[in-house]
Amino acid sequence: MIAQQLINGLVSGAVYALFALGFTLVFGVQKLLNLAHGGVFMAGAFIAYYAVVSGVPFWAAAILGTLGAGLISVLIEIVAFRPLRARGQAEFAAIVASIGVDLILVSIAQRVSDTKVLKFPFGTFPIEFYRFWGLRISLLQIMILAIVAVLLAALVFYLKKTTFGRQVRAVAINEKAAALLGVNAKAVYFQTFFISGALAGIAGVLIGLSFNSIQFLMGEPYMLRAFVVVVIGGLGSIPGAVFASLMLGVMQTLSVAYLPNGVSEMIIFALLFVVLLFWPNGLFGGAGLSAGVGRR
Amino acid sequence: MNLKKTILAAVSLAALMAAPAKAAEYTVLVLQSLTGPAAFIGTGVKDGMVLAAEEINAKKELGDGNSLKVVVADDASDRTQTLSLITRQASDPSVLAVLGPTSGSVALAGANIANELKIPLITTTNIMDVLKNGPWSFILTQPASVTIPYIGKYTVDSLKVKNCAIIGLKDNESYVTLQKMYEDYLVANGGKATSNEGIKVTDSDFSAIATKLADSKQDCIFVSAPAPQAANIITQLRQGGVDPKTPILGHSSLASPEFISKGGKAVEGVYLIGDWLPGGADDFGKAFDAAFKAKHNAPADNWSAVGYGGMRVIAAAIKAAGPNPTRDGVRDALTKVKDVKVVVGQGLYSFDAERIPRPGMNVLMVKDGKFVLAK
Repeated sequence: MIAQQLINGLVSGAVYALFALGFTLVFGVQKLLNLAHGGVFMAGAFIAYYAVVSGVPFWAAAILGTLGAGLISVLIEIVAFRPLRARGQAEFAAIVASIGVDLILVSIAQRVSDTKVLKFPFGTFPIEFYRFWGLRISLLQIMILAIVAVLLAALVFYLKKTTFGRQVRAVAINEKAAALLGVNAKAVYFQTFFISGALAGIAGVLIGLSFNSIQFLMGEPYMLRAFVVVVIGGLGSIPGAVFASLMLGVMQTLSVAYLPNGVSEMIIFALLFVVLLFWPNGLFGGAGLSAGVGRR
Repeated sequence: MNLKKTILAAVSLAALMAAPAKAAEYTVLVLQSLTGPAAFIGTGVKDGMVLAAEEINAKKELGDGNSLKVVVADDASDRTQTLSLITRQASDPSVLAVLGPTSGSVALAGANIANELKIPLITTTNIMDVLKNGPWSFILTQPASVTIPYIGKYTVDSLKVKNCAIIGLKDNESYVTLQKMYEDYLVANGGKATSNEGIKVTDSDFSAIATKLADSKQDCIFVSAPAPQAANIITQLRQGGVDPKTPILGHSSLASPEFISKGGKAVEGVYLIGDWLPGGADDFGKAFDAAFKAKHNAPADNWSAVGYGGMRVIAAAIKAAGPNPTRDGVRDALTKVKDVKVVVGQGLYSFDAERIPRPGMNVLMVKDGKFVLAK
């Protein structure tokens, strides 16, 4: 059973990673805790759901959900964060603004869905299981792991090997110096928010599909776990976020399987305190900076 | 002259006494959640109540010329609005009773003010504290202490299993109470809960629990969660490899069309309890279902059936209170309500000595995408 639970944990952790990467990316570049990230995640799932029930094939609906969430994230940057940044109030005021934006998104979703729990129609994705060495893994779980691996590789390539990535890292390190060198910081923020939202959107679609549940409050538990992930991994660190997400997924699964009822969250948050106590910058704080998206 | 006057007065009085009694209109306030988070309950309850009142008037069940006047209002799950509406309506002496509010703390607040104002009130909720507020407040639906033994008895006596895994919400007091009652029933009958898996209402990933139960030995699995979440849990249990022969059971929260629409084939064979058997369990229930369909172009659901029964109960109390019923008389009659014909449970509604409703429950199962009576 432990091997099967490890697979379950890795799949859960992989989706946490998608969610947390967008969250930590925005923090790394802009030093901003975007608490509307859970709302964007939920919006991605809603867009894909309504596209599917309108007759759009699932793969196209997933792309729509991803792009839609990316655009919502950009809209949040333009409407809520950019004006605050222009007034030099980018941090605390932006946190409050992001809470407001999240509440707006959640309220809209509640009204649209009539407070109901939605589910992709039966047959949206084939339910097939493969068995090997006594383990069961579904086609959907394989797809999730593959998508997360591809997106993660693409993100790292984008940040490390492209001009845009260099610009992102330049703005993350020193916005003014980057601007003097001709980097358009607005465009960097624009693209960073789009990538962050798109990652949240695809995570929402995968969660909605995998766990048969799309509802207006679905972002809240993930937002809480994303905090744990980015703090343990190191704020702004991409490898830290991936490591912490997988670790969180596996720990949560194993604690549900082997420990008494209700212990799972105690362990996760106790770990958070321990990390904060001994590694205030997170386990990968240094590595995060070398990865190039953490501010100095 | 005086004799003439006396005779005239006597004749007039006799004529007056011989004239048929003036037709009376008995007003009942239907105060349900028509908007807000409990609207999915309150709207159905209101529809059932209004339909029942129309039938009672059409069939002259309160006596020739007497009729029910229904005033519909929205509690919106809002305490202030509820208190204001009850206070305003109670100031009108023609209002004999309140059917509502729908649920939660609003129901408790409603019960409190009803006892202050001395107006009979039947809340839709099953919270026992409503009864502790005073003699004027009643509950329409049965508390868990009444309903859980139905599914517990079915587990032990009909399915012949006693050792069950329990999966249930740990962040909702009502659900925790239900799980505990089910576990207590198993223990009292020589069984036990093989495991207790606590979940939250916002959880959606049950893969770890499914794998755990697939590798564990239990005679049955009891799921205590709202219908859509329960459907999701059972879907993941099936996908996680839990033995398909292991009976899965739940309580009345599963008795919702959403349970079947969200669970599909995965919820086939699941046992649960419900007030209302969709389509009706007998001729009376079938007639209600047909009338509801004709009026609303949709089948009656659990809540409309509960509401239909609620109006019939208050109508029976008003009738039993005699001519020119008062609020006192209606309250007294309510405490003596016995075997009023309804469409929920076993079909007959009574309050026991503690004012706890006892219409009984149906043990249902999902078969071919429908709720049917479990054998």
